[in-house]
Amino acid sequence: MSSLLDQARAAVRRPVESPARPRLTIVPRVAARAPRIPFVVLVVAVLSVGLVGLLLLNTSLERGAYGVTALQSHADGLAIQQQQLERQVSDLSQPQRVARRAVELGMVQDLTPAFLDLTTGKVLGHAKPGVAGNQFDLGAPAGSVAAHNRARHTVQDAERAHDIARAQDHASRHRAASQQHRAMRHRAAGQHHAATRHRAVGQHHRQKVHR
Amino acid sequence: MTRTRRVRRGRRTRTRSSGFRLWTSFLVVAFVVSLFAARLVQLQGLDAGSYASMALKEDTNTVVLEAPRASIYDRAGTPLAETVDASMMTADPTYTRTHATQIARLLHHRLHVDYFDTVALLRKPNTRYVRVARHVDPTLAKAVLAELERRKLPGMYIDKDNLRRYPAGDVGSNLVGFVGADGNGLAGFEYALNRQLSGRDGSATFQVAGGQQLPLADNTVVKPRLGTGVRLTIDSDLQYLAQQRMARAVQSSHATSGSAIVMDVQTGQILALADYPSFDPNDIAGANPRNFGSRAVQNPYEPGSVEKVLTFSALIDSGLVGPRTKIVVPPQLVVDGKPIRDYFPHGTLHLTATGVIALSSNLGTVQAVRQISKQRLYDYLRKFGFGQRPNLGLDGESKGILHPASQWSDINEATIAYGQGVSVTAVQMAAALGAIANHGVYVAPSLISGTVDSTGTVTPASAPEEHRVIKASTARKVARMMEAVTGPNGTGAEAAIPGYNVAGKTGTANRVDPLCSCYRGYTVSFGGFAPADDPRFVVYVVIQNPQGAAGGGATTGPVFHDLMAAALAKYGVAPTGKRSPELPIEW
Repeated sequence: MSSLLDQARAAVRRPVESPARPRLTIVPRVAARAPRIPFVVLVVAVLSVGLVGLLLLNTSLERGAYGVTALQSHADGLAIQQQQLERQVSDLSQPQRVARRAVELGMVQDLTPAFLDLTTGKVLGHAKPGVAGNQFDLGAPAGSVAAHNRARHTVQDAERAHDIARAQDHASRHRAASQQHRAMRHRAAGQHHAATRHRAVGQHHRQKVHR
Repeated sequence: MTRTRRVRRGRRTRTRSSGFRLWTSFLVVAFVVSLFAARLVQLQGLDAGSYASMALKEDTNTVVLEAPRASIYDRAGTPLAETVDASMMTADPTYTRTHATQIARLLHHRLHVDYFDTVALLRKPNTRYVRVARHVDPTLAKAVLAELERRKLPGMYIDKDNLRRYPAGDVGSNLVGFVGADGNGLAGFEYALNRQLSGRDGSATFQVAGGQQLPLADNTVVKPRLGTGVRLTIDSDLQYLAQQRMARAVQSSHATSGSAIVMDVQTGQILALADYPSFDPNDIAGANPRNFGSRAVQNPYEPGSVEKVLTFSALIDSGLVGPRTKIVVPPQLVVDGKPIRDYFPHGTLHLTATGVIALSSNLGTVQAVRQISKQRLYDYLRKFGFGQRPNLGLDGESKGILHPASQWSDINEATIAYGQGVSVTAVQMAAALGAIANHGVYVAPSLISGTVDSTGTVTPASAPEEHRVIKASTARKVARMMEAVTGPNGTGAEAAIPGYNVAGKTGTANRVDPLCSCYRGYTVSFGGFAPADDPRFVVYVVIQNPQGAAGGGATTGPVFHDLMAAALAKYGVAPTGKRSPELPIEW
């Protein structure tokens, strides 16, 4: 206990002992100056990392921009291709074209629709073979003079074809009769199971094209 | 000491001169700075707005985001009018001037443009932008540009362009219409629905540097408002068939024009509406502007005897006449001092009401209609849609002419009873027949089945207006009377379809010639529905001013037959298999 007190006393007393000799000496220069090089290196490093980063960022953005442009033009090209294909489909499925193809295949219009009831096997309507004279009229009705003339020709051609075909028709009627009851179309299940006859010669101008 | 003094003196003079210099410099600097300040105030304060916008203009780029015009579809969703991407070939004449002939020759070969026009364009002075070819296929345009580059012919460029296409050509062109060079509709639904179809262009504004978009800079995008497409009730196949058939009928009877309508009885939807002559929307330059509209919708005419079925509907519904009512038909009648005759000379006939319809006797109709009041007949005709616009959505729809009953004299009532002195359009007549077919309920005819948004979602149009005109029992009786028309003794035997019960009525009317405002020539027509005992379709055919021996039965009956047969076959409508008992014609 006392030793602690002594020590404290000594500590208080010590400055009191020295005031007689104030010692002024030159403070030595601070030797431990912060070394300059690491700092410079650090700053340079930070700067160059920033620069390189910026450069990389810029480059990648730039590359991205080019990529966007390239992909955009690719997409444009594909869009154009898609449009062209869609255009082809819509051109091919136009009634004019389908009718022309049907006539080329020798199909004629069915002017007496008849149906086959699949549940009873009964024929509804008067089943008659198609007449070659009912060849579909392909003249353009737009009203121009050229269209007018074309249409006239078709009527005449159809009439001429009618005479020729009547002879052929006579021969083919035999064959047609055997195929008369081939079902062609029926309505949704549960409803009226009716179906038209499918004939070798006689068919209305167009079977439904799947769209 | 001396040194000190000298120094002092020197210092004094230096102080004086330096004060002067300082002062002068200050003034100079102050002056210059005030100049700068003034300029600053001018730039930042006074002209700031204009400079800022100039700077903004310099490095911002605005691109129009086009809202392509929406399509018009048929009832199956096949486009009747569509907009496709195309390219426009433009040129800078300052570059192309020197080798215009070489470029023009190439363009003439590849794009089929006129050689001399192109040379003139490529040499056009005082401009740096000319449009050389429009609506060019994009792949073709690219190929042409590549070839020009290969031949070292600079100055040609590709711009975006739109092309309105009508893939079906003249199929439905009377309804679809067409657009002009500026992309706005000029006829048909293209005109009537122009606002709905066209939408509104948007824009994208972004900052650019060196031609590249600045990735993180301000971007303003105003999204384009896409147009809303429309789906018509038209069945392209039936429409084509109807047009072809009408063309043949009009041509072979040397008539002026004609219309045919196929209508769904239950929904009032028009499956085909053919007008002849018509036009090809892909070749407007070669078309006659008189054919741009739809006659079936715009041109009223006196319908003639087809109207008799409406008169008899009114009579039967009022309980005044039945299908077997006996009518004495005199050889001639005089009403208000004017003689009325039948189209066939006869003595006194004893016809039933059915016989009057089957043989289309004017005199029999006039005898019968005397029992009903003018106002009552007028009310029935109004309910059948006469004198009222059908509101199909097309421009220039006619509501026909039906004068109020108060203005009718006796002769008016007599002639209106058989379809003269009253005017309707083909669509009105078809819709009126539709009311009889639809068990007495009138369904407003329609051409638009719905709208199609940019994602392809179809929103059905609102249900058509409906109202009862006659009792269902009346409709059934009238239908049976109309069956007699297509019977072996009727005026419309040509319209009969073997196996089906077909209700029909012929019409041969005196035609009002607009050139002389007098009766000259005829209007022949045929209207009816099938199967008569469970109607699905109404077909109405009218031909204006046929030459030679033409009548409703002979001229339009076969057209009715072909269109009805096609509609029944395509939609799988089987005959009902029941044979309607024949009604007596004479007594």
